[in-house]
Amino acid sequence: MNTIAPDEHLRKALRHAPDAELAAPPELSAQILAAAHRSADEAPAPVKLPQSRWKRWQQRLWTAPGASAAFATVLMAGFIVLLWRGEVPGSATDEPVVRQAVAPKPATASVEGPALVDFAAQETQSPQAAPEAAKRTLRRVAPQQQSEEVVAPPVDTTADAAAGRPTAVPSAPTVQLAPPAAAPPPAAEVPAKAAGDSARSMRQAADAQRAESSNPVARTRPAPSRLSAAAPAPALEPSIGSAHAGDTWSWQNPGLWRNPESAWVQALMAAAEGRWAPATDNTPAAGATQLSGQRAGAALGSIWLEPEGVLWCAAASACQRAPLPAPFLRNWLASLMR
Amino acid sequence: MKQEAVTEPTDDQLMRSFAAGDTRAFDQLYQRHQAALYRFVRRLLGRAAATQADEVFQDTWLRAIQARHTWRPQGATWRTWLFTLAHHRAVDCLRKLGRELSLDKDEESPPWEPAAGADAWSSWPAATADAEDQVFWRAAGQRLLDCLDGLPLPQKTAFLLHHEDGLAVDELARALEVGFETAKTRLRYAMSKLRSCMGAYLPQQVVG
Repeated sequence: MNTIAPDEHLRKALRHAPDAELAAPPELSAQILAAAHRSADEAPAPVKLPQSRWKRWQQRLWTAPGASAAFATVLMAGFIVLLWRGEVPGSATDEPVVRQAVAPKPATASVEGPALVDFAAQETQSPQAAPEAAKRTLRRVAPQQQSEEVVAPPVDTTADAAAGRPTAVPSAPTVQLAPPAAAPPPAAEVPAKAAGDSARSMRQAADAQRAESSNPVARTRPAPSRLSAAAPAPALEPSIGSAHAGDTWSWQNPGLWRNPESAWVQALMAAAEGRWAPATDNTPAAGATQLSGQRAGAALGSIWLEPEGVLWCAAASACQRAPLPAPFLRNWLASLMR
Repeated sequence: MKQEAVTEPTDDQLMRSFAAGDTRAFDQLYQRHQAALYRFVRRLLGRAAATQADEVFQDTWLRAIQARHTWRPQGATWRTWLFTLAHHRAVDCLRKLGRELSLDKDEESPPWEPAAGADAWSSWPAATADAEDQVFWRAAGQRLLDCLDGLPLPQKTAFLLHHEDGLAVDELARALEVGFETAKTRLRYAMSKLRSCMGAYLPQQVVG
């Protein structure tokens, strides 16, 4: 319904306007026609298939504004937790970590070195030189051992003093490690060289042990020298580990030797640490010398110094045997010679 | 303007053929409407935005090309649909240029008319006796373009679609997506203003 008639004058003026013959520029027309031809060659837009709910959820998740940031945060948090819990190798050795000793085992730490010592090097060592060398080596190695191993306090009499028991050893390090200094030096010409050799071999052993402890793979293995970890004779540790100066040790057949002090026994047992195995035969070898221990009147057990090892029979358990080089045993025993 | 020969396909048929992949159909459509559309765009934009005419013209055709698969014949002709597309694009263009577009507020008052007895057009050249003179109509046409520049875009659009494209008021309303009365009012205002503006280029009796 057209209720307004066009104005013929205006229409005529419009038809005669200067732009009445105007047309699109040829280049513009060419562009438009080319675009039309291109679009006709293209295939029609593919029909969108309905997406599954899971796909739509995934699309929404990944196109959400904070999705990538949240994912990165979770990744970072996971990585930090892994670092924290897994203790990436190397981080633990960068800073000194002092671990507290579980139980006071003064001799354990101090003689761990000698336990790994090349015993052949000690064949020529005098009885007095061995404990003395061990003592010197301990002084050098002690700081590192404190940082890496379960280290007992250098003075084992502390525990005794705290327990109110009488301390039989006045000078802790000396008495703790070595047989009594009163032992006469039987071979005066040997000690200096022997002590040097012993100290060198002990240093090597300590270095090897440090290297092993810094090796993450090796650290995961149970240390063979620790009775608490992998010792074959778990019954051995309580009696020997708790042996103190208050215990009395006496030879069954004294002969030429003095009765040893607890420190001497502890050092001997520490030297045999890691070598213990259940004894298949409880009978001491020929030529063995029996050393009996008592605590407060009760029998602790007996130690037989065999020509090539030590046999330990606790009072209430089976016997265990630790092989030791014969020269070492001879030297060790010689330190008690009257 | 609807001068399609009987033997020639209609615009709707050509558009369907083009949607089916016949590029020659589009060429035919283009040749049929490009000049009128170009003029329409130029006149809508006026002298101030004449530089944008090519862009609006091209964009209108590209939209028509993109819509070939979705286009369906409706009440209006294909040509009206094409001119409507151009109108929307021109509106967008003018908005981007910051032009004032909505001047419809004057539609609530009666259309402007020259004051009675006033000789508003007395300063314009008087109409010659030979009204068919090409020079005169050429000048009248230029004057009309100048007057169109002074019209608001909605009125300008209504006038151009009505007078050049031959749309009836109801078609105009559908094309511009406005009510019938609105379309009618816009057209009346446009014609009234243009007549006043044309002055001496129109016969005295038309103005009154």
